[in-house]
Amino acid sequence: MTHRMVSAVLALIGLLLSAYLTLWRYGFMGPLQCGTGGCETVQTSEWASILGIPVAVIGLVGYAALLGVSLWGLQPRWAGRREPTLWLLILSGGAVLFTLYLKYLEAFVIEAWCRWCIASAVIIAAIFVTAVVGWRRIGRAA
Amino acid sequence: MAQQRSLKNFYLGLGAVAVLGGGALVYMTQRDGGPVVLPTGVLPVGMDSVPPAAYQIGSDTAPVVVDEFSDFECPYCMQMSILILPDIKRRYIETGLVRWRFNDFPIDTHLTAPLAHLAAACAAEQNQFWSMHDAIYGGQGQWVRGGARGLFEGYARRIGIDMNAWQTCMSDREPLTRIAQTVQRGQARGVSGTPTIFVNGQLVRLDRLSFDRLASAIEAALPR
Repeated sequence: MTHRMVSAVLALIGLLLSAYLTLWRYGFMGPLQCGTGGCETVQTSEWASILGIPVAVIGLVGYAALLGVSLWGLQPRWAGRREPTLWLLILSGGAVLFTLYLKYLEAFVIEAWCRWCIASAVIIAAIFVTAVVGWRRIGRAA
Repeated sequence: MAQQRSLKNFYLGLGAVAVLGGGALVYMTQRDGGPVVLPTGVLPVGMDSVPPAAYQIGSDTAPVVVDEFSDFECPYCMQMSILILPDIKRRYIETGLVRWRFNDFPIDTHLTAPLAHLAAACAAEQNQFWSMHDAIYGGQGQWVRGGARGLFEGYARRIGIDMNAWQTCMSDREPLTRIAQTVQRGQARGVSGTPTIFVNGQLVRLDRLSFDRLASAIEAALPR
Protein backbone atom coordinates (compact mmCIF):
# COMPACT_ATOMS: atom_id res chain seq x y z
CA MET A 1 0.00 0.00 0.00
CA THR A 2 2.70 2.46 0.98
CA HIS A 3 4.39 2.38 -2.41
CA ARG A 4 1.10 3.32 -4.07
CA MET A 5 0.71 6.28 -1.70
CA VAL A 6 4.22 7.43 -2.58
CA SER A 7 3.60 7.03 -6.31
CA ALA A 8 0.28 8.91 -6.00
CA VAL A 9 2.00 11.88 -4.36
CA LEU A 10 4.82 11.86 -6.91
CA ALA A 11 2.37 11.55 -9.82
CA LEU A 12 0.35 14.49 -8.48
CA ILE A 13 3.49 16.63 -8.28
CA GLY A 14 4.39 15.58 -11.85
CA LEU A 15 0.86 16.38 -12.97
CA LEU A 16 1.08 19.90 -11.53
CA LEU A 17 4.49 20.40 -13.16
CA SER A 18 3.17 19.25 -16.55
CA ALA A 19 0.11 21.48 -16.13
CA TYR A 20 2.43 24.44 -15.56
CA LEU A 21 4.37 23.71 -18.77
CA THR A 22 1.13 23.07 -20.70
CA LEU A 23 -0.38 26.40 -19.57
CA TRP A 24 2.81 28.15 -20.63
CA ARG A 25 2.79 26.27 -23.93
CA TYR A 26 -0.62 27.72 -24.81
CA GLY A 27 0.29 31.28 -23.82
CA PHE A 28 -1.78 31.27 -20.63
CA MET A 29 1.05 32.63 -18.51
CA GLY A 30 4.14 34.81 -18.80
CA PRO A 31 7.79 33.75 -19.08
CA LEU A 32 8.83 30.38 -17.66
CA GLN A 33 10.39 30.59 -14.21
CA CYS A 34 13.60 28.84 -15.12
CA GLY A 35 16.74 30.69 -14.13
CA THR A 36 19.08 29.59 -16.89
CA GLY A 37 16.84 30.31 -19.89
CA GLY A 38 17.40 26.75 -21.05
CA CYS A 39 13.74 25.90 -20.42
CA GLU A 40 12.50 28.16 -23.22
CA THR A 41 15.19 26.82 -25.57
CA VAL A 42 14.09 23.26 -24.90
CA GLN A 43 10.36 23.96 -24.79
CA THR A 44 10.35 25.91 -28.05
CA SER A 45 12.62 23.48 -29.89
CA GLU A 46 11.23 21.28 -32.64
CA TRP A 47 11.43 18.31 -30.26
CA ALA A 48 8.98 19.95 -27.82
CA SER A 49 6.18 18.24 -29.77
CA ILE A 50 5.92 14.67 -30.96
CA LEU A 51 3.54 13.98 -33.86
CA GLY A 52 2.08 17.41 -33.19
CA ILE A 53 1.37 16.68 -29.53
CA PRO A 54 3.30 18.88 -27.07
CA VAL A 55 5.54 16.86 -24.75
CA ALA A 56 4.02 18.81 -21.83
CA VAL A 57 0.58 17.46 -22.77
CA ILE A 58 1.98 13.92 -23.06
CA GLY A 59 3.39 14.40 -19.55
CA LEU A 60 0.03 15.66 -18.32
CA VAL A 61 -1.76 12.57 -19.63
CA GLY A 62 0.97 10.22 -18.40
CA TYR A 63 1.02 11.59 -14.86
CA ALA A 64 -2.80 11.61 -14.75
CA ALA A 65 -2.73 7.92 -15.69
CA LEU A 66 -0.11 7.16 -13.02
CA LEU A 67 -2.14 9.06 -10.41
CA GLY A 68 -5.27 7.19 -11.45
CA VAL A 69 -3.57 3.78 -11.22
CA SER A 70 -2.05 4.67 -7.83
CA LEU A 71 -5.45 5.69 -6.43
CA TRP A 72 -7.05 2.59 -7.94
CA GLY A 73 -4.48 0.44 -6.16
CA LEU A 74 -5.32 2.12 -2.85
CA GLN A 75 -8.92 0.94 -2.91
CA PRO A 76 -9.33 -1.69 -0.16
CA ARG A 77 -10.39 -4.48 -2.55
CA TRP A 78 -7.27 -3.95 -4.67
CA ALA A 79 -4.84 -3.35 -1.82
CA GLY A 80 -3.39 -6.88 -1.77
CA ARG A 81 -3.53 -7.40 -5.55
CA ARG A 82 -0.55 -7.14 -7.88
CA GLU A 83 -2.33 -5.70 -10.94
CA PRO A 84 -2.18 -2.00 -9.96
CA THR A 85 1.54 -2.28 -9.20
CA LEU A 86 2.11 -4.12 -12.47
CA TRP A 87 0.44 -1.23 -14.32
CA LEU A 88 2.54 1.26 -12.35
CA LEU A 89 5.63 -0.67 -13.45
CA ILE A 90 4.57 -0.75 -17.11
CA LEU A 91 3.54 2.92 -17.29
CA SER A 92 6.50 4.30 -15.34
CA GLY A 93 8.92 1.96 -17.17
CA GLY A 94 7.69 3.30 -20.52
CA ALA A 95 7.88 6.85 -19.19
CA VAL A 96 11.47 6.31 -18.02
CA LEU A 97 12.48 5.14 -21.50
CA PHE A 98 10.72 8.14 -23.06
CA THR A 99 12.44 10.43 -20.53
CA LEU A 100 15.85 8.94 -21.37
CA TYR A 101 15.20 9.77 -25.03
CA LEU A 102 14.25 13.35 -24.06
CA LYS A 103 17.40 13.70 -21.92
CA TYR A 104 19.49 12.48 -24.85
CA LEU A 105 17.90 15.18 -27.02
CA GLU A 106 18.59 17.86 -24.41
CA ALA A 107 22.21 16.79 -23.97
CA PHE A 108 23.31 16.11 -27.54
CA VAL A 109 20.83 17.67 -29.95
CA ILE A 110 19.29 20.77 -28.37
CA GLU A 111 22.32 21.31 -26.11
CA ALA A 112 20.30 23.00 -23.42
CA TRP A 113 18.83 21.80 -20.15
CA CYS A 114 15.39 22.56 -18.84
CA ARG A 115 15.19 22.42 -15.06
CA TRP A 116 11.49 21.58 -15.09
CA CYS A 117 12.21 18.66 -17.43
CA ILE A 118 14.98 17.43 -15.12
CA ALA A 119 12.57 17.67 -12.18
CA SER A 120 10.07 15.59 -14.16
CA ALA A 121 12.79 13.02 -14.97
CA VAL A 122 13.61 12.68 -11.26
CA ILE A 123 9.92 12.26 -10.41
CA ILE A 124 9.32 9.58 -13.04
CA ALA A 125 12.48 7.71 -12.04
CA ALA A 126 11.33 7.82 -8.41
CA ILE A 127 7.89 6.45 -9.37
CA PHE A 128 9.58 3.62 -11.28
CA VAL A 129 11.86 2.74 -8.33
CA THR A 130 8.85 2.89 -5.99
CA ALA A 131 6.94 0.54 -8.29
CA VAL A 132 9.89 -1.90 -8.44
CA VAL A 133 10.18 -1.92 -4.65
CA GLY A 134 6.41 -2.37 -4.31
CA TRP A 135 6.42 -5.22 -6.82
CA ARG A 136 9.14 -7.06 -4.92
CA ARG A 137 7.35 -6.59 -1.58
CA ILE A 138 4.07 -7.88 -2.95
CA GLY A 139 5.96 -10.81 -4.47
CA ARG A 140 7.50 -11.70 -1.10
CA ALA A 141 4.17 -11.36 0.69
CA ALA A 142 2.39 -13.61 -1.81
CA MET B 1 -9.73 0.62 11.36
CA ALA B 2 -6.27 2.11 11.79
CA GLN B 3 -5.58 1.47 8.12
CA GLN B 4 -8.78 3.27 7.12
CA ARG B 5 -7.80 6.24 9.26
CA SER B 6 -4.35 6.39 7.70
CA LEU B 7 -5.90 6.17 4.22
CA LYS B 8 -8.26 9.02 5.09
CA ASN B 9 -5.33 11.13 6.33
CA PHE B 10 -3.46 10.30 3.15
CA TYR B 11 -6.36 11.48 0.96
CA LEU B 12 -6.59 14.68 2.99
CA GLY B 13 -2.86 15.30 2.47
CA LEU B 14 -3.07 14.51 -1.23
CA GLY B 15 -6.07 16.82 -1.57
CA ALA B 16 -4.15 19.57 0.21
CA VAL B 17 -1.22 19.20 -2.23
CA ALA B 18 -3.68 19.30 -5.17
CA VAL B 19 -5.44 22.41 -3.85
CA LEU B 20 -2.17 24.19 -3.07
CA GLY B 21 -0.55 23.30 -6.39
CA GLY B 22 -3.69 23.99 -8.41
CA GLY B 23 -4.15 27.28 -6.56
CA ALA B 24 -0.56 28.28 -7.37
CA LEU B 25 -1.17 27.57 -11.07
CA VAL B 26 -4.42 29.58 -11.06
CA TYR B 27 -2.62 32.41 -9.27
CA MET B 28 0.18 32.41 -11.86
CA THR B 29 -2.22 32.53 -14.82
CA GLN B 30 -4.35 35.23 -13.16
CA ARG B 31 -1.25 37.27 -12.31
CA ASP B 32 -0.62 37.49 -16.04
CA GLY B 33 -4.25 38.39 -16.70
CA GLY B 34 -5.57 34.86 -17.13
CA PRO B 35 -6.03 32.99 -20.38
CA VAL B 36 -7.03 35.15 -23.34
CA VAL B 37 -10.30 33.82 -24.72
CA LEU B 38 -12.90 35.41 -26.93
CA PRO B 39 -15.96 36.69 -25.11
CA THR B 40 -19.20 34.87 -25.81
CA GLY B 41 -22.62 36.40 -26.19
CA VAL B 42 -21.34 39.66 -27.69
CA LEU B 43 -23.70 41.65 -29.86
CA PRO B 44 -23.41 40.70 -33.52
CA VAL B 45 -22.36 43.30 -36.03
CA GLY B 46 -23.82 43.81 -39.50
CA MET B 47 -22.39 41.78 -42.35
CA ASP B 48 -21.47 45.00 -44.14
CA SER B 49 -19.28 46.31 -41.30
CA VAL B 50 -15.59 46.64 -42.14
CA PRO B 51 -12.39 46.04 -40.19
CA PRO B 52 -10.70 49.03 -38.51
CA ALA B 53 -8.73 51.36 -40.78
CA ALA B 54 -5.47 50.08 -39.34
CA TYR B 55 -6.28 46.60 -40.66
CA GLN B 56 -6.52 47.79 -44.27
CA ILE B 57 -3.90 48.50 -46.88
CA GLY B 58 -4.39 50.02 -50.30
CA SER B 59 -6.23 52.93 -51.80
CA ASP B 60 -9.73 53.91 -50.61
CA THR B 61 -10.70 54.20 -54.27
CA ALA B 62 -9.31 50.82 -55.36
CA PRO B 63 -11.83 49.05 -57.63
CA VAL B 64 -11.29 45.67 -55.95
CA VAL B 65 -11.70 44.98 -52.25
CA VAL B 66 -10.25 41.75 -50.90
CA ASP B 67 -11.41 40.53 -47.49
CA GLU B 68 -9.13 38.00 -45.87
CA PHE B 69 -10.45 36.05 -42.87
CA SER B 70 -7.38 34.68 -41.15
CA ASP B 71 -6.15 33.06 -37.98
CA PHE B 72 -2.67 33.93 -36.72
CA GLU B 73 -2.11 30.34 -35.58
CA CYS B 74 -3.09 28.81 -38.92
CA PRO B 75 -0.09 27.61 -40.98
CA TYR B 76 -1.85 28.21 -44.34
CA CYS B 77 -2.60 31.80 -43.28
CA MET B 78 1.09 32.16 -42.47
CA GLN B 79 1.94 30.92 -45.99
CA MET B 80 -0.55 33.36 -47.45
CA SER B 81 0.98 36.20 -45.47
CA ILE B 82 4.62 35.37 -46.19
CA LEU B 83 4.55 33.80 -49.66
CA ILE B 84 1.58 35.36 -51.44
CA LEU B 85 0.64 38.70 -49.90
CA PRO B 86 3.98 40.42 -50.68
CA ASP B 87 3.50 39.73 -54.42
CA ILE B 88 -0.17 40.78 -54.28
CA LYS B 89 0.98 43.95 -52.56
CA ARG B 90 3.53 44.80 -55.25
CA ARG B 91 1.30 44.00 -58.18
CA TYR B 92 -2.15 45.10 -57.07
CA ILE B 93 -2.16 47.00 -53.77
CA GLU B 94 0.68 49.45 -54.40
CA THR B 95 -0.67 50.11 -57.89
CA GLY B 96 -4.02 51.21 -56.47
CA LEU B 97 -6.01 48.30 -57.86
CA VAL B 98 -6.75 46.45 -54.61
CA ARG B 99 -7.71 47.38 -51.10
CA TRP B 100 -6.81 44.47 -48.77
CA ARG B 101 -8.67 44.04 -45.49
CA PHE B 102 -7.60 41.69 -42.73
CA ASN B 103 -10.43 40.18 -40.70
CA ASP B 104 -9.74 38.40 -37.42
CA PHE B 105 -10.89 34.79 -37.45
CA PRO B 106 -9.19 32.90 -34.60
CA ILE B 107 -10.33 29.28 -34.75
CA ASP B 108 -11.72 27.71 -31.57
CA THR B 109 -9.22 24.87 -31.45
CA HIS B 110 -6.23 27.23 -31.70
CA LEU B 111 -5.79 28.07 -28.05
CA THR B 112 -3.08 30.72 -28.49
CA ALA B 113 -4.78 32.46 -31.43
CA PRO B 114 -6.93 34.89 -29.36
CA LEU B 115 -3.77 36.13 -27.65
CA ALA B 116 -2.08 36.66 -31.04
CA HIS B 117 -5.09 38.56 -32.43
CA LEU B 118 -5.21 40.67 -29.27
CA ALA B 119 -1.50 41.48 -29.61
CA ALA B 120 -2.04 42.64 -33.20
CA ALA B 121 -5.18 44.62 -32.26
CA CYS B 122 -3.26 46.42 -29.52
CA ALA B 123 -0.51 47.22 -32.02
CA ALA B 124 -3.21 48.53 -34.39
CA GLU B 125 -4.13 51.14 -31.80
CA GLN B 126 -0.71 52.63 -32.54
CA ASN B 127 -1.05 52.13 -36.29
CA GLN B 128 1.39 49.23 -36.19
CA PHE B 129 -1.00 46.44 -37.11
CA TRP B 130 0.82 45.33 -40.26
CA SER B 131 4.25 45.34 -38.62
CA MET B 132 2.83 43.18 -35.83
CA HIS B 133 0.97 41.03 -38.37
CA ASP B 134 4.25 40.33 -40.18
CA ALA B 135 6.13 39.67 -36.92
CA ILE B 136 3.47 37.27 -35.61
CA TYR B 137 3.29 35.29 -38.83
CA GLY B 138 7.07 35.40 -39.23
CA GLY B 139 7.53 33.99 -35.73
CA GLN B 140 4.62 31.52 -35.88
CA GLY B 141 6.94 28.52 -36.00
CA GLN B 142 8.38 29.58 -32.66
CA TRP B 143 5.46 30.95 -30.61
CA VAL B 144 3.13 28.05 -31.38
CA ARG B 145 5.60 25.94 -29.39
CA GLY B 146 5.15 28.08 -26.29
CA GLY B 147 6.01 31.34 -24.59
CA ALA B 148 3.76 33.38 -26.88
CA ARG B 149 3.25 36.18 -24.38
CA GLY B 150 6.95 36.88 -23.98
CA LEU B 151 7.60 36.57 -27.72
CA PHE B 152 4.77 38.97 -28.67
CA GLU B 153 6.14 41.45 -26.16
CA GLY B 154 9.53 41.13 -27.87
CA TYR B 155 7.96 41.78 -31.29
CA ALA B 156 6.17 44.87 -29.97
CA ARG B 157 9.40 46.20 -28.50
CA ARG B 158 11.33 45.51 -31.70
CA ILE B 159 8.72 47.29 -33.81
CA GLY B 160 9.06 50.36 -31.60
CA ILE B 161 5.59 50.31 -30.08
CA ASP B 162 4.87 52.38 -26.97
CA MET B 163 5.07 49.49 -24.54
CA ASN B 164 3.07 51.09 -21.74
CA ALA B 165 0.05 51.70 -23.99
CA TRP B 166 0.39 48.24 -25.56
CA GLN B 167 0.60 46.52 -22.18
CA THR B 168 -2.43 48.45 -20.93
CA CYS B 169 -4.38 47.33 -23.99
CA MET B 170 -3.21 43.72 -23.49
CA SER B 171 -4.45 43.87 -19.87
CA ASP B 172 -7.76 45.63 -20.60
CA ARG B 173 -8.41 43.31 -23.55
CA GLU B 174 -10.97 45.69 -24.99
CA PRO B 175 -10.36 44.64 -28.63
CA LEU B 176 -11.52 41.07 -27.85
CA THR B 177 -15.18 42.09 -28.19
CA ARG B 178 -14.57 43.47 -31.66
CA ILE B 179 -12.54 40.38 -32.61
CA ALA B 180 -15.43 38.15 -31.49
CA GLN B 181 -17.82 40.28 -33.56
CA THR B 182 -15.59 39.90 -36.61
CA VAL B 183 -15.65 36.14 -36.13
CA GLN B 184 -19.46 36.26 -35.99
CA ARG B 185 -19.53 38.35 -39.15
CA GLY B 186 -17.31 35.83 -40.89
CA GLN B 187 -19.49 32.93 -39.76
CA ALA B 188 -22.56 34.77 -41.05
CA ARG B 189 -20.82 35.02 -44.42
CA GLY B 190 -20.10 31.32 -44.43
CA VAL B 191 -16.48 31.35 -43.23
CA SER B 192 -15.64 28.08 -41.50
CA GLY B 193 -11.90 27.73 -42.11
CA THR B 194 -8.92 29.90 -42.76
CA PRO B 195 -7.72 31.57 -44.83
CA THR B 196 -11.01 32.49 -46.51
CA ILE B 197 -10.91 35.14 -49.17
CA PHE B 198 -13.68 37.30 -50.58
CA VAL B 199 -13.01 39.38 -53.69
CA ASN B 200 -15.56 42.18 -53.98
CA GLY B 201 -17.79 40.19 -51.68
CA GLN B 202 -17.54 36.96 -53.68
CA LEU B 203 -16.06 33.92 -51.98
CA VAL B 204 -12.96 32.65 -53.76
CA ARG B 205 -12.43 28.91 -53.57
CA LEU B 206 -8.81 28.36 -52.65
CA ASP B 207 -8.48 24.61 -52.93
CA ARG B 208 -4.80 25.14 -53.47
CA LEU B 209 -3.23 28.26 -52.02
CA SER B 210 -1.34 30.03 -54.79
CA PHE B 211 -0.58 33.49 -56.08
CA ASP B 212 -1.93 32.57 -59.52
CA ARG B 213 -5.31 31.43 -58.17
CA LEU B 214 -5.75 34.61 -56.14
CA ALA B 215 -4.41 36.87 -58.90
CA SER B 216 -6.83 35.42 -61.44
CA ALA B 217 -9.76 36.09 -59.06
CA ILE B 218 -8.56 39.68 -58.67
CA GLU B 219 -8.04 40.10 -62.42
CA ALA B 220 -11.57 38.85 -63.04
CA ALA B 221 -12.95 41.46 -60.65
CA LEU B 222 -11.01 44.39 -62.16
CA PRO B 223 -13.12 46.73 -64.30
CA ARG B 224 -12.63 46.21 -68.05
